[in-house]
Amino acid sequence: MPEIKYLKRMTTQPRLDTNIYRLQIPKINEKSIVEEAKRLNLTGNIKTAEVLKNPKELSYTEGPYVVTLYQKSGALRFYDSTRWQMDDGTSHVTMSDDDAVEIAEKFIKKTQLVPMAECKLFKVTHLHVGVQERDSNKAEERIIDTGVIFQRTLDKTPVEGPGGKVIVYIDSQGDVTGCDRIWRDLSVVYRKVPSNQLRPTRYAELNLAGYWRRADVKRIDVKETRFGYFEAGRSESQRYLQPTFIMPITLMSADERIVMKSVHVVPAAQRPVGSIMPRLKVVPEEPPREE
Amino acid sequence: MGTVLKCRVGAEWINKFHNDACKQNNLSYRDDHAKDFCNKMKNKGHTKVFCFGNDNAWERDFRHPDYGGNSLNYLDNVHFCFYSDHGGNWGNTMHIAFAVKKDKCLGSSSEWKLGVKMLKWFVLDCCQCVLNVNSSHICAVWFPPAYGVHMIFGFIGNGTDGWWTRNVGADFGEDAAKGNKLSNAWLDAAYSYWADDDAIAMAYGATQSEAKNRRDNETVNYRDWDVTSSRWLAWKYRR
Repeated sequence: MPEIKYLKRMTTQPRLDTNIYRLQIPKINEKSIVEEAKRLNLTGNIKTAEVLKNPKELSYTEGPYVVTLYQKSGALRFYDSTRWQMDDGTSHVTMSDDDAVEIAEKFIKKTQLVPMAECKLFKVTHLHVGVQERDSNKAEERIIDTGVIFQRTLDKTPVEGPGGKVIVYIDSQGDVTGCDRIWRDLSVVYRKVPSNQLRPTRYAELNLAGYWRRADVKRIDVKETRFGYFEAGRSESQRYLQPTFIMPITLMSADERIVMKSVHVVPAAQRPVGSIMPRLKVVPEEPPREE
Repeated sequence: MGTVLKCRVGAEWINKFHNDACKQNNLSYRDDHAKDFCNKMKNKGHTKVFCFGNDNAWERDFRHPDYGGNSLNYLDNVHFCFYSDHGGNWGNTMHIAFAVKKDKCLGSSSEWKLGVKMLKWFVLDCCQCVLNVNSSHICAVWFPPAYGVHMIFGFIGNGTDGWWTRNVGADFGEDAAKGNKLSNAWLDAAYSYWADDDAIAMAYGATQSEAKNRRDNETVNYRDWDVTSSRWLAWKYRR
C-alpha cells in the first residue's frame, strides 16, 4: 500500500447541480471543414484548396493556412504555417497578458469559435527562445508568442482535462497565428446529477488508494482535489461528459530524486457512466535480450 | 512534402522495476510512447533498429566506451533515439533509471558522448531534462555530453505518465517521420497545459546562426549536415 500524502484536501462537498451529458458523434467531412474554413475567414473553396484525409484527421490547406479537424473528437486546429510558433529572429512579445486576452476574446467572438459566455480564462502561456555560447555566461532570450487558453464551463462547473479548452496563439505584433479548439458538442442530458447525488470526496480518496495500490508505488503526493467535468484530448473518442473529482498526483520513488506526475480522475456521480481511469496495464514480458 | 531522408531509429523504455537496488516506481505508458514512436517512424520507411523494454533496456547502451559502455553499438548507432522512463537531474547532470543493473541502475550524462558516431536526435521522454529555464543551468547540463548530436528533446521539471499523454510518442513520431520541423513537433506533442508538462527542444551549432537555424527549422532531412562543433546551444520551450 503506498503512503498517500495530501498536500491539500477538498474539505467541503461540491454543492453544484450537474448533469451527465451524452455527446454528439463528430461528423468530419468536406462540408464540415469548409464551414470551419469560412468561419476562420478563408474562402472555403475546395477547388483551389488542398483537402487531405487520413484515419486520424481531415485537413484543409489554403495558401499558408491549414485547418485540421480530428476524426475522433471533432477538435479543430487552425494555423498560419509561415507564422505559427515561428521565430523571425528579432521579435519579442512586449504586450501584456491582459492585452493578449483581449485580442483572443475578440477573435473568439468574431469567429464564433465557441460561445464566449462559456469561457473562463485558464492560463496564459508564452513560447520562449534562447541561445548561448559555450564559454559565455550570457544568453539571448526572447518571447515569440502568447498562447491564451480558455476553459469551458458548464452548469457553473469547469471542464477539466486536456479537452474543454480553446487556445488562441498571438504573435508579437498582436496578430492571431493559430488556434486550437477541443470542445465536444453536447447532444442531450443523459441524467441529471443533483448535488445530493454526488459521491463524497472520501470516495475519491479511497478510489485513488485502491487503484495505485496495485501499481507498486512507494509514496503518492496528492497536490489537490478539484471538482469538474472531464473532457478528453483531441485524439480520443468520448461519448459522455460527466462530473468528476480530479487529483493531480506525484508518484515518489524510494530515491525521492526520481518522481513522475500523473492525474487521477474519478467519476463523481453516484451512478456514473463507466470509469475514467483505465485499468492498470499489464505489458507482456519480452523475450530476454542476448548479452 | 518532398523527399524525406531515412533514419535509423532506436528506443528503450521501462514500465516495470523490481524490488532490488534498482527499484523505482513502476510506470504504465512508457511502452506506448517508445513503441508508437518507433512504429510511426517505421511506417514511413525509417529503419527500426532496436526497441528494448523493461529488463532489456540497459544503462551500458548509453554509456560511451571511454567509460566502459557500449553506446557505439546502440544509442550512437542510430540517428534517432527515444528513451522513455524515469529521469532525474541533479548536480547539473542528467540521470536515467534502469530496472536491471547492466552495468548500473542509473545512467549519467557525465558518461555520455552524444553524437560521437551517428546519433543526431535524442529524446528524453522522462522527467527533468532540465530543472528550470535558467540559461546557465540548461548550458551546464547539455554542453558537456554533446559530441555532434544535433538536438535534444525533453521536459522542464517533471513529466506525466498517464493515458491523457500516452500519444506523445505517436504524435512526435508521425510528425518527425513526415519531415516536419522537429522542435515544433516535439513542443506540440509533449507540451500539456492541463498536466503542466513543459516541453523543451534544444539544438547545437558551430555558430549562433546554425544553432538557431537547427532549433527553428531542422527536420530529419538535416541528417547529414553535421554539427562540427557544439559551441552554441539554442532552445525553445512553451510555459
